Amino acid sequence: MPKRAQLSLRRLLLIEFLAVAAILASLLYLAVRFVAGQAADKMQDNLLAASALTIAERLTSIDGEIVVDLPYSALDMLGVSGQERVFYRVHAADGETVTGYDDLPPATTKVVEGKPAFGSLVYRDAQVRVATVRNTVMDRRVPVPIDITVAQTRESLNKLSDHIALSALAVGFGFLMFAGVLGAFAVNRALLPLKRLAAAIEGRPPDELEPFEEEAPAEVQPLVNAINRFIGKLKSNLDVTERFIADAAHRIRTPLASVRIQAELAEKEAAGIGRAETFSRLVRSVDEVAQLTNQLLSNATVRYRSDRGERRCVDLFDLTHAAVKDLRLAAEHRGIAMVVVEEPGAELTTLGDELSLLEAVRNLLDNAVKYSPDGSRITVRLADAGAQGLRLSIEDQGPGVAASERERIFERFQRGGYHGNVLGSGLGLYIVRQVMHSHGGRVLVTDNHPAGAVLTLELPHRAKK
Amino acid sequence: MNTPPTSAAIRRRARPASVFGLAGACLLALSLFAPSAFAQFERILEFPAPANNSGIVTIRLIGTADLEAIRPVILAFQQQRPEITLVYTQGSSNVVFGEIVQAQNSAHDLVISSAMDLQVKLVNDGYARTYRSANTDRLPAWAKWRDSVFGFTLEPAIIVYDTRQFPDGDMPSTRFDLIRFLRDSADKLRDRIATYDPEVSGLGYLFASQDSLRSNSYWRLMEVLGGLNARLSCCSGEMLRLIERGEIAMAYNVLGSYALARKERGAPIGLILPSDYTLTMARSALIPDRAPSPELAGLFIDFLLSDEGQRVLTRQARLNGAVLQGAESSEMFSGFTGQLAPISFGPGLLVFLDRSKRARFLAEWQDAVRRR
Repeated sequence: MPKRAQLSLRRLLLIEFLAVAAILASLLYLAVRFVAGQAADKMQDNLLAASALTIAERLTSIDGEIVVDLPYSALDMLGVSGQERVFYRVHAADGETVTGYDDLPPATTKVVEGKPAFGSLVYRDAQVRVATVRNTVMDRRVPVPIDITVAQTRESLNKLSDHIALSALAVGFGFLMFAGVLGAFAVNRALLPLKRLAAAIEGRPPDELEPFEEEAPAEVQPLVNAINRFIGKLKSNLDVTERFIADAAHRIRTPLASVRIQAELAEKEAAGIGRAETFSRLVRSVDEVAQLTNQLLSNATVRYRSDRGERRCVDLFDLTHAAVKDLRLAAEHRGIAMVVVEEPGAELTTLGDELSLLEAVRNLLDNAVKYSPDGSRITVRLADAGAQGLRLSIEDQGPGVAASERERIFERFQRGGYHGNVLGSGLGLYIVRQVMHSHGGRVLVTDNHPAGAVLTLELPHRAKK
Repeated sequence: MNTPPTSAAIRRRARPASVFGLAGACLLALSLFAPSAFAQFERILEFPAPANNSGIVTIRLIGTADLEAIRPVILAFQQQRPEITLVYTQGSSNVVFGEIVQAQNSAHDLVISSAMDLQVKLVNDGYARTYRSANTDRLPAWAKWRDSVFGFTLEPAIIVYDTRQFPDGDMPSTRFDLIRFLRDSADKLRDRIATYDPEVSGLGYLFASQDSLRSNSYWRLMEVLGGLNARLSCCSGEMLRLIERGEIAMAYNVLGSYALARKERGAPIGLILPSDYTLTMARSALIPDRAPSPELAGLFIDFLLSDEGQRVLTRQARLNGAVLQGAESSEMFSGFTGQLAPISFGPGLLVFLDRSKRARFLAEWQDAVRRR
């Protein structure tokens, strides 16, 4: 039988942990990249604003013309932050350029006097950061607002942000791995109680069915409780079986004792006329023991098989004929006719254990034969009863079963011994009912007309099961 | 072969030395009579590949360096790479800059210019490609920018004088001393002193603007020059020639590499590296964004930055290829104990290219120097 790969808690935890670690690491990278980017932006913005301000200081108006004397430091200071390209533009607020790169766009946020405005845009195929500062110059008593825009590319800052983010990622990842190793230790320790429990169970001898009293952590306690409940069920099951065996053993003693006595008497009356009588009583005792033993074994078998729970397709027709065949000799010996009547076209398969079902049917037939008068007829009917399932009924012309007895007869050892001339063990119908229960069916007793009893077995269709 | 769209281009093929010598003499003669006009012309020289097989490729260079200076470098490169033809177009720094910025231009693979600020602007405005190699990685940080422009020489701006005029050699060593010297020797130097015209020469403007940042006495010095009716020149070469011919006795902010070369050829030239600070510039190479053969251009850059290339630049081209080894071990600076002020590549160089700033600076400069 192929075995599916066994679930490993440790492996599951590890995979889940790694998944979480990967997600966290990605989030960490993105967060740090964002924060580092913000910081770099701020750094660059301050520098750009400072540069623009130094230019703003050098604005003058000469003979109606706005003039700016670009200070060397304005662009030189931008060189400090690396190898970025720089652009600048000094223009009147209405757009006319005083000097610089004519097509440089201003900052994207609103430009207000006294407060630098910033923006990020693309200029000459490069990502640039832009700062604009507004300064008002007096031109013959008329205030003229002039905007100074300074821009710089961002390559080294982007690289710096990336570098910081990657470093954070590496550190974060290192921490996560370390946490993972510690986590693995923790998991191992947490799973120790399970190991201890397993050892405790292993160490129990099979006959000790007391509940486990070992201390277990809260999460494992439900498992321990379930095991204890299971042990309880097992114990009660075993108790029932033991009681049954004790009961049966006790009951065997009686006929066995009787056999013993009869044998002794036979010995004593070896030469006496009472011999035939004694021997016939002996024979009957032996029959009783044999019958009882058979039924005990049959019951044990049926119980065992029902516990095993294996189910196959069983054809009731074949089953009935097998049982009938077994009892034909005994029937014919007393002139009893056995007839099987089958509903034409009915499908009579059920799912179950063939041997147990055969045993049940034989028991019923055996009863029918035992209680039928000589020369009578036993009819076995097989039919599909639709909603009630498959029906197998055995009609005899014997004394029938009184309504008050119809429950009692199925109980264990209720019959026991001879009823009149009929030998029974008291187990036959008990077995039948056990088999029916374990197959999801039932057994009924009704009256036959004009006389006799009808014992009916109802079993579910194969499909319905 | 495309001819760049300029007026009066003289195309020539490199010939055996004697013919070149004759042509060179004609060029020299031409240069004597039309110094400023000469600077505007572009000259194109082709150096065909020495190899004779079919796998010949071409690198097109454009630059400010004189043909005599660049020639040994190109020939040395071709010794290593005989399958490469090189075409060199020479022009002034503003013209070279303009060529690259033109919208449809994709005629050149490599730009070599002494105007560091214009080179930085080309990179900043997106006209250059990046290039990285083991050799470029060896460059110090100040000598390159954005892996797009690479300095390969270390050339100082110095003061030169006619040793015949000042034989006792008692020369000023700082700019402050120079101002006093100029006043004291006014009779010898009136109408006989020269400096770069910053309006015409990109390198001259770079030196002048950087001087103005560093020296407290710069404007005073310019005024004194103005008082001496200084001549304004397009180029170091011209100023040195004027000294050799005895037409001028001193020149301020001349390229030290050229001066040293002439001196070693026997010219009566004295060199002063000002000890308060000596400006140094780096000639640089740059691959235009639309270069047709950028990988080949990269090979040439690697050569310039290699030990062999630097050696050729120093010994044969006389351009002081000392950018890797540094000034301390360079012959140019031997015995110099003053302050070096290297101009470095960076966005600061864009400031003086600002049109408003430039206009103001030149106006101030003209005011100082042309004042009578």
